[in-house]
Order: sequence, then structure tokens, then C-alpha cells
Amino acid sequence: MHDDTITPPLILGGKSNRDVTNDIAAPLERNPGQMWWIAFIISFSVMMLGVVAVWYQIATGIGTWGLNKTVGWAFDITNFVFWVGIGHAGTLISAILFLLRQKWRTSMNRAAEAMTLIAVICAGLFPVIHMGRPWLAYWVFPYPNMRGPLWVNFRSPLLWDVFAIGTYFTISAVFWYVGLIPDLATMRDRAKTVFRKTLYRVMSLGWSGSQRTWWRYEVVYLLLASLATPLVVSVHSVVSFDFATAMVPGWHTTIFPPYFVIGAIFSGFAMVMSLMLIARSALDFGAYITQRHVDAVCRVIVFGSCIVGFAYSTELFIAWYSGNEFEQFAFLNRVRGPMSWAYFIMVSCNVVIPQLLWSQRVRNSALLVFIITIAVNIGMWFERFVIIVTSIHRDFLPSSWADYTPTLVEFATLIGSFGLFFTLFLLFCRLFPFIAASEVKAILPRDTEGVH
Amino acid sequence: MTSSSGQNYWMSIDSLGDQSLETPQSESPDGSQPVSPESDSGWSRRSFLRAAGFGGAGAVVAGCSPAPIKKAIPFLVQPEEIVPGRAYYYASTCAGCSAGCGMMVKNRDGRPIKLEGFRGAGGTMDRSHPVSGGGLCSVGQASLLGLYDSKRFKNPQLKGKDSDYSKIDAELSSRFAAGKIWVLTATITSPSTRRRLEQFLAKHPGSEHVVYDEQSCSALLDAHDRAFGQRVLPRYRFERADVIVGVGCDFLGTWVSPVEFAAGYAKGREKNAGETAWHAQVEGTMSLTGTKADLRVVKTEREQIRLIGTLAGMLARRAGVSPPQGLPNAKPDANLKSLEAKLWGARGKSIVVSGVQHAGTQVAVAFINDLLGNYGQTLDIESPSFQRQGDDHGIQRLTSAMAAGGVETLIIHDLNPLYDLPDAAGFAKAMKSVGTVISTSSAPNETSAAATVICPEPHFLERWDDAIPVKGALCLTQPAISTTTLFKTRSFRDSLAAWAGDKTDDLAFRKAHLSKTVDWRAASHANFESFWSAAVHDGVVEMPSKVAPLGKFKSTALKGLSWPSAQAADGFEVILNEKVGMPSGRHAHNAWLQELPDPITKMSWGNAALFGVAAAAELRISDGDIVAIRTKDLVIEIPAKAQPGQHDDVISIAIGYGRSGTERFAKVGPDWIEARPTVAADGVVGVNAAPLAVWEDGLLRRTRMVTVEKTGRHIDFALSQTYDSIDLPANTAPGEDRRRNIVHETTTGALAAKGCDDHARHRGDVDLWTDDHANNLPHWGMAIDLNRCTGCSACVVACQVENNIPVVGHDEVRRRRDMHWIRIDRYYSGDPEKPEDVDVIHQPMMCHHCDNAPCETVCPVLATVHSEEGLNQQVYNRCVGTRYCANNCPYKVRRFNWFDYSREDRLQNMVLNPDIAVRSRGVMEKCSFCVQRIQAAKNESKRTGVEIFDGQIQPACVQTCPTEAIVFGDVKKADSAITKANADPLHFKVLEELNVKPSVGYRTLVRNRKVKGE
Amino acid sequence: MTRRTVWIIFVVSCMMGGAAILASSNVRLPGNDIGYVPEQPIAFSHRLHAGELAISCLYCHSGAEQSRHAGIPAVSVCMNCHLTVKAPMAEVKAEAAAATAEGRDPRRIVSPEIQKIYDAMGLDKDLKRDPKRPAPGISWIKVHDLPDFVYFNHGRHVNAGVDCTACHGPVATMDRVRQESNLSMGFCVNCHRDVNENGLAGDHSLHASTDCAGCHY
Repeated sequence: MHDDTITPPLILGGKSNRDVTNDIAAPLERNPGQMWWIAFIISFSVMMLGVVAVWYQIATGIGTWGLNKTVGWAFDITNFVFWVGIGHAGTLISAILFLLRQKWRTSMNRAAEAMTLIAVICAGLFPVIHMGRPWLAYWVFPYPNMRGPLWVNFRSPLLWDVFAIGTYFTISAVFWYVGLIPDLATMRDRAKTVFRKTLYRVMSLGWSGSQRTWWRYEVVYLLLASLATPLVVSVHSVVSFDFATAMVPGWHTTIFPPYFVIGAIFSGFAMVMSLMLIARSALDFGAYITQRHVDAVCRVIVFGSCIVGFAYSTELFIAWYSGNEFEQFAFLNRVRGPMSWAYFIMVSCNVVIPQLLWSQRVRNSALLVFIITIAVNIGMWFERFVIIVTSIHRDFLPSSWADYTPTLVEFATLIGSFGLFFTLFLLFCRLFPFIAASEVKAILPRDTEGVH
Repeated sequence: MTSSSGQNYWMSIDSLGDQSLETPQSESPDGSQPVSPESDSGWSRRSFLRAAGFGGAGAVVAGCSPAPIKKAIPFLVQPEEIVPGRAYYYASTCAGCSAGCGMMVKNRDGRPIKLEGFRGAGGTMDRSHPVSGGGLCSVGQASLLGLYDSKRFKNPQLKGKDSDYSKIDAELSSRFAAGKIWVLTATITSPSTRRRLEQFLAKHPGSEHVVYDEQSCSALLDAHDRAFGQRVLPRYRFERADVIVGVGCDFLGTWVSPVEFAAGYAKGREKNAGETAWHAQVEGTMSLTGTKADLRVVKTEREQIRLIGTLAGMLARRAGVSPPQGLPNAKPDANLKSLEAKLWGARGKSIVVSGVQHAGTQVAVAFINDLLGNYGQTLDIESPSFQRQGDDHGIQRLTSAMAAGGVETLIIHDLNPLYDLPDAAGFAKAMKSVGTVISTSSAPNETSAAATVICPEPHFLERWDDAIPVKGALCLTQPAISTTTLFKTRSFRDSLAAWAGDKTDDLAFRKAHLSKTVDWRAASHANFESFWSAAVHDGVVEMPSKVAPLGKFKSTALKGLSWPSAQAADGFEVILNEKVGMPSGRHAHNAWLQELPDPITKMSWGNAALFGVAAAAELRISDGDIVAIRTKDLVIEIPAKAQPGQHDDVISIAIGYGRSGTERFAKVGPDWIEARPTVAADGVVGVNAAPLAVWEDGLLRRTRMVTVEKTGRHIDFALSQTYDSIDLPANTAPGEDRRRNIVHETTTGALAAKGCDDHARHRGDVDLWTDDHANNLPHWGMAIDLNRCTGCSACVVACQVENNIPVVGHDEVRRRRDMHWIRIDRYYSGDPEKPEDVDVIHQPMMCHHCDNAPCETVCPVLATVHSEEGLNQQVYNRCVGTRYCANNCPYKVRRFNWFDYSREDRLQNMVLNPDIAVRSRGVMEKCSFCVQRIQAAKNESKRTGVEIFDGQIQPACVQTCPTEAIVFGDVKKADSAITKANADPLHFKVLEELNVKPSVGYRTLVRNRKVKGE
Repeated sequence: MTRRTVWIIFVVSCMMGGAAILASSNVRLPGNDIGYVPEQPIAFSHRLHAGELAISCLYCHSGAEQSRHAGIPAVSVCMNCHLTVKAPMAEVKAEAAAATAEGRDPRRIVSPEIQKIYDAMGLDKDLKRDPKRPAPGISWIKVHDLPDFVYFNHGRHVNAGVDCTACHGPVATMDRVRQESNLSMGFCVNCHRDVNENGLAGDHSLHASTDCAGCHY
């Protein structure tokens, strides 16, 4: 911990181990405040709106979405890719930063991982409900059947998605849960009511806190981290194949895998930052989520923003350089066509605005940082929208060119997915330690060590 | 017995009698009548399985419960010649209009399910009908739906109440006694009906017969009367013409006998080796015929008339004949000069034809044709046409007679004057003074609403009939079904017989009459009986006919005719035109035709006031703005649309819309929160433009001067194509050349100059894919000749009928969710600065059945895969509806079932093809190359051991195409027609550079000109 | 044996037991109607007609050769024989014997099942069509029923030489017809594959397509 001597400590307020435990357990042990309830009721009702929309869509038909014979995907897959992207930061922070020994991750990896799981749940929803016959969604799994048997099409990127997302969710879930165990044990020991006692006892899997347990825990955690790392790259690469392997101009692009991955990390960090800033003020974790954390995340965001900007320009250059008339038209149509407004929202939110974060003064203002991260999230949603819709709405045959106008049902579904996201996240804040206490203790500034 | 693949042998009349006794109640796997088409539990198999699909619970429920019980009641005594589940074809004659095209009625389990183009007897595929060859137009194809129209009159009506014929006849006999009977009918091509009518008229002295056509050719007929002393409609032999000049006449689309003309035109367009006929079209708006023209001269109708007059004068001078007096004499421009030159160069091998309802014009046209010696050559008077006989003066006499109280009884047959007369209101008012009005309309319409007695006419698939549309061709119509249990109809002929008190049964009467009038010996038959059965069996007999040739052209004919002045009156000149799919109000209740996109405007479910592009811009009218069209006595509010290729002083409006009874379509299409009704605010589909027509010199003129103002209101059109140009938008076009090279065209000039450049094939040599077709099975392919294709859209409807394609309604089409498996892309090309003279290209577009199909790789559940025979198969019941395949299809030919489209009308469901699954909501569908027909042919060859011959398998589109533009077959056969077509140097594949290896190709469009405007 | 081992053994045996029960029970997958044997309005015995009397299948199901549907015979087809055959031979003989014993004319016997045919056609007791009687026909219960989205053509198979029993089982031994095969897609496809591998009854020229569009369109 040589750097602690020159840079300010990651955890302020000279906390002792006990303080840490108390602080982190506090929000779980006191009754939820008014703020929490308001937030919960709002997000829950928004979620219900989404539920109604989806129910109506499944009962009536995909026709209740603004799609047509030319634009077969729009909000549905946009939302899917968006949420998968959000999911990225979690695994990145917990796995890669862990392997890179980035200590500042400890204050936020727990929340980030939770966010990942919830985001992937939101994402997983869309491939199912975007089907014309969702009640047959199970057909995308290879299972023995009476049809000869009839298998699935392993050449289809959609099928790769099924496996990629599935694996990603499983690993992230395990990783998150394993990391939780020590803190769950702490909660168990502190628990008063019978309900909480049993809940945490069962969930902490008989954690004894013995030297041996700790040692095994460390090993498992390390292994899982290294296991999860490739997934960070793989998942979004596979998602990008949905487009890269298609032949639609604007989709058929080799740059997509890295482009999607970095975009995902970019948006993921932005979302983490937004949540952290809320949590810090709501659960007064000021001492744990400090300016150093904000700075660190902001640097990642600026970095992401630059790479994304680079990707955009590369796309345009390659389109021109390829000399392929369809490719060239596809991108001219993005920039100048009837949907250019979407393209400019995308560029300004993802490339221009985040540049503000170069300045320390901006980074110091929680409000500005918050606004910027929200902008990035909006921008990244539009990035997917632009890629999907502006590419297919005008492709090869001019006779088939069509416009796309979303319907109320689509908007309701989009908002509903945010409702689902925040509902689950709020529940997480209530049930599990928001910060990985055990890990934070490991990085407490030296001068507070041994104080009992 | 006939077979479902080809016609092997044929049914006798008597057996057909039994056949028509069979009244099917509904579709049943046994061709018998089930207790209910669904299960007793009220669960269809499909919904049952869907429920079962809901994972565990469903599986358990389904697992333990037996399948829904289905019952089947076999015949008591099965008709000898019917095998349930087999299709039978009867030769018959279409009565969708008066053209009298031949057709085959495909009968399945006792009910007609498809109308097909005519085919010669004996399993041959030869298209040998004297009138229509082997084609059938969109209207003919769709007229099948009228048979299953549940809105038809179920009973005859007396004073608005259901009644029966004995009562009605009794009632009427007293009224007829009062005399003063007028009979108003459309053109009657049936000799027996004419005879019955004569009998009736003779029985009631002083009664009169008036013939009137809503698509009138009166001026043309009058002109021949005036010029040659014969009121005759010559038969236009376009196949014989080298130079064709059409003036305000859509002869390929809607005029008189479009199928016949299109077939002839297509033949004429390719005489020996590439040398094609030259076609100039003079018109005010873009017509289907205009889209095919090599030279298109855009003129208002007034200018058209003057042009004809001038041309007549010029040619007269050229011929050294003193030009008739009083002809207009405009200053000839380049176009006029080249017209004159070309026509003079092709004396005896040219056609000048005009649809303009103006006496002078038609006489002048007759003069020109006579001068050029076209009569007896390209204008056939040996076998003149009886397809139009209407006399506009007659109906005016009737109107005044009624007004003067000179009409006691008025019988209106096969007409709807209260809808399509310009002064319908006046006619209705005059009609009030008529004692009894009898209508034979089979479904309620404007006229039947005002009638005292209604004797509903059966659908033409339910009755016997005969027709002589052109001299020497006797076409017979035989009933393919009897729905008398549902609809108590009686044919006009039977009514006349009853009213004339003639008891002879119809069959006996017809045979007696024909044996007397028809020269059946000329058709080399020993006795009439054998002639008769042959005629019924073949559907048509041709007899050489001898007619006295026309007399000399009377020089006096052109005297004393009125010609319009040189300078235009101010305001717009409105021209009422006809849509290919909706030639008149007759078929306005036909959902298939309403949904059919117009080949020019691409608009379905409605009509519009079309403006010239510049004119619309000047008036600041954007598409869908509702404008008020004003004349001094009336105003019509109608949405406007800009139309390239239209004269800027012209507004053109399609007739046939705004029919009463189209309210029925209010509920067409899915019902959901953002759905909009299919009908307009006033409850009907489209706007009736008929009142804008005028009577002029006793002729029905479909044009007059109007003024226009905006109303500020707006509607959205249901357009199946919204980007019309073949050129990319200027601001997003990569290079200087904005043209998308997806449809190839050239000119005879270019061809002569550098031969046909074998459109540099981009096909890649490297292929990562293994060859799917390493077998000795056929590989199906299709080739479409863009020179022959007129865009008439018959294929679109044929496909819709054959493949159970649903009608989705205005709102869904507007949302670009039309379901047609084959669409006709219509592109404009040319100088954007001169929108008046654009060129038009029609490109039929259906699934290309690519060998490297992009849709196949991306489907996660293998719902679309390649067959051993090169078909791209879509498996509806495997599809989960990700729509990935549609996104990845470069031709955008896949159609998605966004909703469960209503199939509630049980009667209408009888039209469904029992060999094709009705697709449920949420699955993708598309053109299958009519795989059911391929299968049927194979089954048949398996059964009979006869090899399938090239051209035997014809998908619905190929079968019906009037111009034989589409070729289908096995590309592996060296000598097959498709192989030859693919070998043509002008053959090209769309988007070949993508290397998807489509099985569909096209023949480059060749325009017969050196440079544009020549 | 530790507590854990006991647990493991317990769980595993539970699973195996469950599997065994599931396997033995007749829980079917949706759409699998194997063994469906409904009671028919007339106790028509295929065993008697097709078995003992060895009437060819195609005599009644004539459509099977030339049509998509094998078809249920028209009632008139039954009458071809049952115009004369009104009751089992045994009963008729017995009656005749009794009659001669009692020295009277034999009474006319009509078995109740065959009577149903006459009623279906509305025949009087001299087997003449009686216009006053209703002729409701016979509403048989369909045994073999494929989903709407499957196109199966009997003619194609019969002409290729596929034996009826290949799908319908030993109908000639059934008094009441039951569904022998599950008629699932697997059943069809595997037979097609087999024919392409090993030929049909020694005939290797046959090509049984396994294309989707063979059955689905």
C-alpha cells in the first residue's frame, strides 16, 4: 500500500473494522426510510406499466409495436443490447480490476455486480418478448424431441446469444454470491429477528470465518475472477455478431466486436457511476465512495468515450474506403438521412459531452458528473437504435424503404424495463450489504489498523 | 377425370349436373361434412398445441387429455366422378367484365377455390383461347370472392321485403300489362340472353331496350357508324402492329379487353429477333399503357383531341388526299412529326387507338386508320368485337322518358346507374316517376336500394351462360357450384322467360337457339349434340366467320364536328381514369381488389386526385392533403397526390370508389389501441368521382374543367411503396451516378451500338458453402421478362387466392405490413427537373429462393431451410417469429403475421385453399414457388407414371400472366424454357454481387428508341 | 457411513424412483395420441371385414390410391354387401333351423348394428329409400388426425408401395380401430430416412424426401 502515503486514502474518516461493519449493515437493519419507499413505489408502478404493455403485446400481437416488413427490429433489440451493455461494468469491475489489484474497486464492486445481474435479467426479457410466438421460446434450446429429432440452428447468431447470455448470467451470479458469503455471515451474526437469522444463516452456507474457510474463499474468488474475465469480452462480442454476421449494410462490419465491448464498458461504468452517486447520498456512504472513486470511474468513462468516438469515425472511414456503394449509402443515410437526428444525439452524448470530464472541476461536482453519466446512458441507447434502425430502414431495394415510428406499447415496454431494473436494485439495497465490507476492511488505511 | 396438376380428361355435362348439386358446408379432411370444422371442445388443433406450448403445466394438461374429438360424416351416395381431396378443373368463361376471357375453374370438394387462365384440353398447357389466350386479369382472379359474399341478397325482394319468385312474377305480370317497359342493361354478349330479351320485348309491345356501359365506347362505335355505316367495334390485333399510337386509351390496363390486348401487345413487342414494335402513348396522366410506351407525349385531353385532328390532316396531305374540312390544325412539333413519319412508314401495320369520348376524335382516328389501310389488317373486322355495345344516347333518352312519365316499368340488369352516372341524382329523381323498378343486382347497391323489385342474379360461377365476345368465338360458362340453398337467386334469362311466359327450360332453350344461330357445322361436327358437348368440355369453340368488309370511308363523316379551341380555359382539366384493379364500381365490394396496390400509384384502399408534380408543388399540396374540386354546380372533397408523368394542367381521379356498401370494410384489419379504420371519415372506401363526368354531344365525357382549393385537412394513404425513384436521394448518394443498379434497362439504340453488355457479373469464384444440390433432382428457377411485364398485377391477386394470403386493411398497409407474397416494384427514372416525362419500370419481386440464402443461416430454430430442389422453405409451424430472416433478406420479400387476421366470415372461408395452411399470428411467410403445385404434379406423375414435362408446373403467378412474362421450370434441364431464358444475354439477376445466388432472374428491359423522346 | 452419504443416497434414489414412475405412467407429450381408440357410432369390426373376410382396404378406402385422403366410405358402399347381408350367418342358420323345426317361414333377422346403416340412409324395412325418414348419415369419430399444418398425401404413399399397416398397424386384427403409431414428425422422418438408406421392400430406386416442404406448406 505504498501509494496510500502519497494519495488520499480510499476510505475516509479513519474508520475501524467495527465502524465499517456498522456503517454498511446500518441501511439493512434500520427500517426503510421515506425516500426508499417513494423510490420503490415509483419504480414498482413503472414496472407494472411495462408488465401491462408486454401482456397486451403478447395477447394481441407484435403488431402493437411500430415495426413493419422492412424494419423488423427496433426498440426490442435496442433495449436488449442496451441492457446487456449496462451489465458489463459489473463483471469488469469485479473480475478484471480484481486481477489488476485495483483496490478502489472494493467500494463499488458489490453494487456493480448486483447491477450486472439485474441488467442481464432486463436484457434477457427482450429476446423472448420480441418473438412472434414467445410461448414457443423454449424451441431455441437443443433438447430431445419427437420431431426426428429436430435440433436448433447452430449457425444462427441468435442461438449463440442464448448460450453467451446464459453463461454470462450464471458466472456473474455465482461470482456475486460467493463474494457475498462473508458479509452474509456477518449479517447472520448481527441478525436479531428470527426471519433475518434464518435467511442469512441459510444464505451464508455455514460460513465459519476460520482461517481455512478464508483461504479457500480467496482461492475460489480468484479462480472465478479469472473465469469471468474472458466473458467480459465474449458476451458483447457475441451480441455484436447478431449484426456483424448479417448482410445488412451498416450491420455487416468487422469492427463490431471490440466496438460493442468498449461501448458496453463505457455505458456500464456510466450506469455504475449514476447509481453510486445516488447511493452515496441516499445511504450516506460518503466515507466509502470518495472523490478518488469518482475520479477513477470518470477516467474510465473519458477513455471509453474517446474509443467509442474513434470507432464511429473508423466506421465512416471504412465505409468510404470500402468503395462499396451500399455501405457508403448506409452511412451517409445515417448522418444525413431521415433519421440523422438520432445519429447526432448519439455522437453528442457519447463523444462530445463526456470530454468535460477531463476537467477536475467538473469531476468534483457530483451533480455534473451525474448529469454526464445520464447523458452517456441516453447516448448509448441511441447508439444501438441508430445501428439497428437506420441500417435496415433503407437497405438494398428502394422500393422497400420504410420509416419507423414507435408505438405507445413500445415506449411503455422500454420504461417498464427501467422500472424492473430499479425495483430489483432497491430490493438489493434492502437485503444485502451494499458494499463488500470484508474487502473494504482489507484496504483500510494503515494508521487505523489494529485499533480495537 | 381431370387431375389437380394438368387437365387429363374432362367431365361430361350430366355428371357436372350431379356435381353442382353438391353443396359443401365447410372444409373437412374427408371432403365430407364434419359436424363442426373445429373440435367439439371449441379448441382448434392449433390453439390446442399453442396452449400445450406454455411449458410444464400445458404439457401435463395436454399429456393427460386426449386430442379434441373430430367427427366426419361421409356421403350417403358418393358422386361417381368426385374423389374427396382431388381438384377438378372446368373450362368456363369469366364474367368479371364483358371481355369474355376464358378460364379454368379449380374445384375442390364441391366448391370453386381458384380461377385460372384458360388452358387447352388434354393436359396440354397451351394458351389457346381465342379471346384471352391463357391469361386472366386481377379482376377476373378476384371475382371468385364475390361467390362467397355473405352480403348478397339471400332472397328476391318485393317492396324491400323478402319474397319468392312466384309472388313476384304474379305481381309483375299485372304491372307489365301496363306496358311502357324499358330494359336497361350493360352490354350483353350472350346470344341466348339476347334472344330471351327479344322474346320478352316482343311479348310486351312498345317496350324498349337500352344498352349502357359504365366504361363506354359509345363515341368509337358511333364514329364507325358515321364513317362506314356500321356501328362496329373492330378487333384490335396488336400482335400484327409495328407502330402503335394510343391516345388517351389504357388498352393494356382497363380498355375493352385488356388481357387480349396485353397478350397481343407482348407478342408484337418481340417479332423476329429483338426487332420490336414501336409504341407511342399520348395521354394526360400516367396510365399502365403509358408506362410501357417508347415515346410518351403528355397532353391534356383537349390537346389530345387537337393532336389527333392535326395528325389526320398531316397524314391526309402526305397521302395526297385533300384533308377534310374543319379539322383543327395545330403547329406540328417534333413528336407529332415523328408520329406521322412512323405511322406513314408502317401503313397497314400500324394501329391508332383512342379512348377519348369525343365524336370528332374517333372519326378522325377511323379516318387515319382507314388512310393507313389498317382496317382488315391490324384492325380486324372479319371478327369484330361485341365486348362493348353501349350507346350513351340511349340512357339519356331513357332519362328524359322517365322524367316525362313515359316509363311504367324499368328493368335494370347488371348496372348501377345511380352510382356511376354523372347526373345520378337527376336519374334518381326521374326514376321516382317510374311505377316499378326491377333490379337484378345480386348484392345491395345504390340502384337496388331504389328498386321496387329485386331478382338477385346468381354469381357467374353458379349459372349456365354463353357468350360471343368476338365474332366466331362461342364461349360457354358452366356452373361450378350451386349455392341455391344459401341464396335464392334466379338468372336474368330465367326471369325474362318467366315474364315472357315461356316455360321451356333454360338448357333446352339455349341449345335450340344456338343450334339455329351458331354455324356449328363450320366447327366440323357431325351433329349439334357432339358440337355441344365438345363446346362445354372445351369451354370455347371457334368458328370461321365471314363478315362483309367495311364500306368506304364517307368523306362527309368529318363534316360538322365540334373541335375544342386552341387555347385552354383556365382551371384544371379533370380526367376520370380507371384503376387496373378497380375498373369501375362493379367490384368495389371485393376486398382483394381493394387491397391490391395500384400498379401506378401503389395505393390501396382508396383513390386520390392526382396532380402533376410541379402543379402540386405550386399549390403547396403534399400527398394526403384533402382538396376541394369545384365545378360551377358541385364540389368534391378528395385527398390529393402528386403523380410523376402527369400533365400539370390535369387532375386525374380514379372512378369506382365511394361505393355504398363499402362500409362493410370498416372492421377489416386487426383491432388494437392504435388501429385506424379502413374506411374514410364518411364511412366508405374512397371518393366517388363519377359526378365530375358530363354529357357532351350525347356522349359521356370523362373530363371537364374544375378549380381546386385546399381544405387544410389531411389523411394518410395506404401505400405499399413510398420511395418511388430508382435514383438515391441526392444528399445521401455516394457518388455522382445516383442510380441503384437493381433493374437493368437499355434501348434498341444502345443495343445496336454496342450489343448488350453482358452486365459484368460480380459472382464470386470462391465459395465457402458446399453445393446443396449435388443430386439428380430438379432445381426450380424463375425468369421474368421485363419487356413482357406490363405491371397489371394479375399475378398479385392470383398468388393471394392460391396461398390463402389474408387481407389486412388500410391501416396495416399504411404501416407497410401488406402481406402480398409477390409485389410489383414500380420505379420512376429520368430527369428530376422534368417530372412530366419520367420513364417507368415494373419489377415483380417475390422470394428469390437464393442458393446462399441469407435468411437460412440466421434462423435459430431452422424454420427456414433449403430443399434438395433448391427451394427456400419456410416452415410456419416451426417459426417462432424472431424476424431476423426478414431483416437479413436483401429483397425484403418476407411477410410477417403481425396479428391473427380475422377469418370470421365462415362463408368467405370456403374460398380458402385446403392444401395450404392458414398461418397463425407471429410467424413469417413468403413465396414458396407454389410448392403445393410442385407436389401435386409429383403426386400425379407418381400415380400415373407419366413424367412431368417442362412447363407443366405453373405457379399461380405464371399461370395467370396475360403476357407470359414469367417462366418457371427446372434449371438443370438443358432444354427447358427456364434454361433458355437464363442463357439469354439480356438476362440478369438482382443484387448478383451479393452472391446469394438467387433462383429468380430478369430479362433486361429494352426500350425501342435511340434516345429519350424519340 | 456419514450423514452426508445417507443424504446423497436418499436424494439419488428419490430421483431414480421418480424417473421410473414417470416412465411407467402413460403420460404423453402434447400431440401424441398413440393408443387413441374411440367408440364408433357403429360397432364396425375391421377384424371381421379386413381380417376374416379379407376385403381389400382400398375397396372401402378407395381414395387412398388417388387422393390426399383415404376417405371414409360412403354409406352406399356398405350397402353393396349389406343389401343382402343383414345378420351374422350363425343367427340366420339358427333361425332357419328353428323355423323348419317349428314348420314356419324363417323370421327376417336384422342385426341391430346393421340396422344402423339402414337408418343412416333412411331406408324402410324393404330397404327402399323412404323420403319421409331422415337420412342423417353416419358421424364416425376420426381416429388418425394430423395437425392442420401437416400435408399428408395417402395416394403418394400407396402408389410408392407403402403398406397401410406401416402407419395404421394390424388393423385387420382390430375390432375397434386404435391409433398404432404416434404419427409424430419423428415417426414420418425416420421412415423416410430408412427408405433412403435401405429402400422400401427391396426397391432402392425410391427417394423419400426429407424436405420440410414435403409436408409443411
